[in-house]
Amino acid sequence: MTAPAKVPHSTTPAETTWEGLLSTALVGTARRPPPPSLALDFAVGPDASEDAAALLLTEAAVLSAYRRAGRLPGEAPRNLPAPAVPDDRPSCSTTAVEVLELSLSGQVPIPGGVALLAGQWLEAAARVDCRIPARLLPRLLELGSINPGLQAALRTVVGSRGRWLAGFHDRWGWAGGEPVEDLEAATPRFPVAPRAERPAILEAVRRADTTRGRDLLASTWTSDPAAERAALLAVLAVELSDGDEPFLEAALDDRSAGVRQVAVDLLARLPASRRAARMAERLRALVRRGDGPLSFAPLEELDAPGRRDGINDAAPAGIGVLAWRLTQLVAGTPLSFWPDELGLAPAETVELAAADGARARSSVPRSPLLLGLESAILAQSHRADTAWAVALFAHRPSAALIATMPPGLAAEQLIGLLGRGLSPAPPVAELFAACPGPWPEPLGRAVLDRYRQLGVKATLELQAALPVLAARLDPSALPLVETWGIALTDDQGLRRRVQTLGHALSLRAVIQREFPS
Amino acid sequence: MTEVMGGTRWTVDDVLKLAPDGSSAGAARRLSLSPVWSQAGSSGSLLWGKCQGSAREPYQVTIDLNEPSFRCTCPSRKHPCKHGLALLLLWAEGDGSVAEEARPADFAAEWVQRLAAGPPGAAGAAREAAPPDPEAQAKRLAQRIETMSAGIDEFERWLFDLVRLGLATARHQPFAFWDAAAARLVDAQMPGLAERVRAIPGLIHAAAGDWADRLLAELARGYLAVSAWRRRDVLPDDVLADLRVVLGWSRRVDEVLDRGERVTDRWAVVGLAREEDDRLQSQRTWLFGQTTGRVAMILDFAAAGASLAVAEVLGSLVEAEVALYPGSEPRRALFTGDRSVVGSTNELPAADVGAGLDQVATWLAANPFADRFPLALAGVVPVVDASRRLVVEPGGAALPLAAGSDWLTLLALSGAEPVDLFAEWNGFVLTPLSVRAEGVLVSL
Repeated sequence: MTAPAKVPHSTTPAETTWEGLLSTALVGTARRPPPPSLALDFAVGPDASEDAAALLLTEAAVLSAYRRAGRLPGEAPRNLPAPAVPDDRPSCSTTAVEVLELSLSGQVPIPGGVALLAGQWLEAAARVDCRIPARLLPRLLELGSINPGLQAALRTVVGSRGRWLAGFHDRWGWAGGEPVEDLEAATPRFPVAPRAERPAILEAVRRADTTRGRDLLASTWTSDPAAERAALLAVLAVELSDGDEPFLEAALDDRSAGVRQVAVDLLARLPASRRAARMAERLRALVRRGDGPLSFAPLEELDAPGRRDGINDAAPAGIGVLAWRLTQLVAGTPLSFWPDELGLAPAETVELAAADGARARSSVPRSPLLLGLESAILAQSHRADTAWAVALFAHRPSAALIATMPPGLAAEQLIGLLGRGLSPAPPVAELFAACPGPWPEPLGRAVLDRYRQLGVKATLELQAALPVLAARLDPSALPLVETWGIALTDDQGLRRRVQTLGHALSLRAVIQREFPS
Repeated sequence: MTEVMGGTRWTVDDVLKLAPDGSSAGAARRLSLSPVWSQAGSSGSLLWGKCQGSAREPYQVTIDLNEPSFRCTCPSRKHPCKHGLALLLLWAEGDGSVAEEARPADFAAEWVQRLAAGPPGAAGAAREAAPPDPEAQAKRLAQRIETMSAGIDEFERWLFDLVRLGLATARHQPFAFWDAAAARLVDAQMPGLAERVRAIPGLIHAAAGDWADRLLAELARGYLAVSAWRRRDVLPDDVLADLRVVLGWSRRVDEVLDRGERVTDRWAVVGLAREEDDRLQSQRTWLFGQTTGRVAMILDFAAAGASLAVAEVLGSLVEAEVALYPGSEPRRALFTGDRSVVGSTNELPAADVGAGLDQVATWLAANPFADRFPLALAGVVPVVDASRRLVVEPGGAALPLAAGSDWLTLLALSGAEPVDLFAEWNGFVLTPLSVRAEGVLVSL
């Protein structure tokens, strides 16, 4: 029996006899005779049969019925688990719950699958911070285990009951534990917390108070091992500011190469840093005036201060060492260098850098100048004129650039790009994906027009783009999508896929309505 | 199933009810949808067709709808085999793939002639569709009893062998060993017993440290059925009815409707248990009578994808008359006619563990074969104690949960606070079906 019976086995004749029957049955009546009969007046029995097997089975039949009928429950353990902290948030609307269940069921085919719609639902619910029915918690925790991208929203949505429940399943550890809401409690825990948890604690403190986050990092800095130092220093990327510069500048002298690399990468985002000034200084000395508009002498000597600032000779394949040094100098120099010192506007600079590439040997895809400029524009995007991103995008559109732009500008740039004509290729979907949704109406229209006009020529691209459209189009674009679907009379496969896009938008419209922002 | 004459189309459900087990039904459903059929036709009460199976030659399948009786050249032990069921399904669908023809195919005609020539229960395609012939019925009954008695004798020898050689030996028998014994029981028209034998390897596996205990109890129960069958002439009707359920000798719906006890009440739907294997789904709907306090269980089958005839919503109050199957409480039932949903409830007829187990003991005293009891427990908490999953009354009794139960949802709903629970109890472990948490009834 799985549960201990209240009555000790040995005291009841039924149990004694049952154990006897069992030990005979185990080895077989051919080897051991059954124990003496209970001598009960059995209602059923072998007809004067002397067969030991018959006798044993008859007694076992009666006794097992006795035992089952007389079975006593086990005793509750003394220590019951602590109940979950009550979740007193208001509950989500019934309609919202129905949409979530429909999304989770996978019954409505949606481009991007269950995770896409559920993700939109969870983000909206996390913003409103409402409670979901407890019965859905296991499915949501499971969903989060498969899709780490949903975990942030889920940690809020599942609430105290979900965090409590996560403790009962190995795979749900990510949702367990108290959120670092209480900074006063988190701070003393930081030095002693497990290695994996420390960046999360630091990040929470950093988000709440940037200076306090940096001070917390500094408090254990000298005693932390190198690998932990690198992981913790990387947390300064959250709300990075010029206030962090002294700490990062000092980290350039760290014993660990990993830590130094993190410091270099973060300093590259701070054009007002001392490192940026030193890089500009080096570049200034190399300018060849009067030798074309944009010409530099090679950096022949890489000295110790240069190495301290992160310049290295580990050139990627196809790029010479001297060219690579120039690339790194340009990448580390503030973008203001070009207009202030050379009188070049962003668009001119990009154009000249690109032309330099065209002049260069064909084996190099882009000039060292353009490579360096590109990484400077990406790194300094938050602190530089958006004209830089726009200028580079006109020359070399990339998803990374779109992602650095404010949403309105990104949409505008994409519309412009579509207007100039763009041959279909799956990576185009990545450009669209980089522009946050819900898209303004003109962008939605422009993208849908693209696919309507290109038709089968864009089949591959559309395959990649459908989940993006399902996630980013404004639900108000539904009529456009439906018109498109209806027009597709001779391509049933595509028509079905466009219909699934329509389903996604209809459901998102409900989500938008149920969680007004 | 309605009494079928040649020419009256059967429904898919009628066909599936003939399946010896769920996996046959599922396999038949798949076969009926596959392009493996050729020369399918019908004439009068005769159906025939050729089915390309794993053998070189296609299997020849013939069915006489009057019995119905099946013949197939496949080696399957099951009767009817999946090919026979699939052909019947094809025909029942009525989409024309089984064409009406003037003359049966040669192999079908040959079988009919052989049947007509043979002595027992000869049924031929030529026989006129006639009202049930009492004499023929009595003959069929006698034949069935004879088949079953022979099967019971063989089953008894099999049980004796197991006990002589010892359970330690039986434990290591492969699945095929139990499956073969089950197949012989199916041949002997005792599919219920067969199902229990086929479940034994799973039982041994799931019960882990308890396996010997559970195996002996299961074999002993089988032997109880053997003894009861031998004494069937002196058993009271209720006990006989319970025995028929164990053996798997099913009752016709019209028989229950004609002779079953009728109870009218406002029934609360307190638990739904769905099972789906392969292509067949079954559902047990547990009803609790608000006025009479009686418990009834509606059992339904349907092909996967099809909707169940009785798909009540948990918590509904249904005003209806039911006809109870013969046998001991708690009894299976059928809705006799119209039913209307007149409201809903969030309550369970819950009691404490002690009272629930007392009720189970009473039921068991009347029917020692029973192995599924409804149990509504008040104020219990799901806990895990040294890796055992339990529901407990705080400071009181504890019952273990079945391995397959939806433990995490139960935990999520309770949050370690007491909840009311409706479950099926098999005498060893509990399978929760519904929970009342924070005033709301939720299906698990």
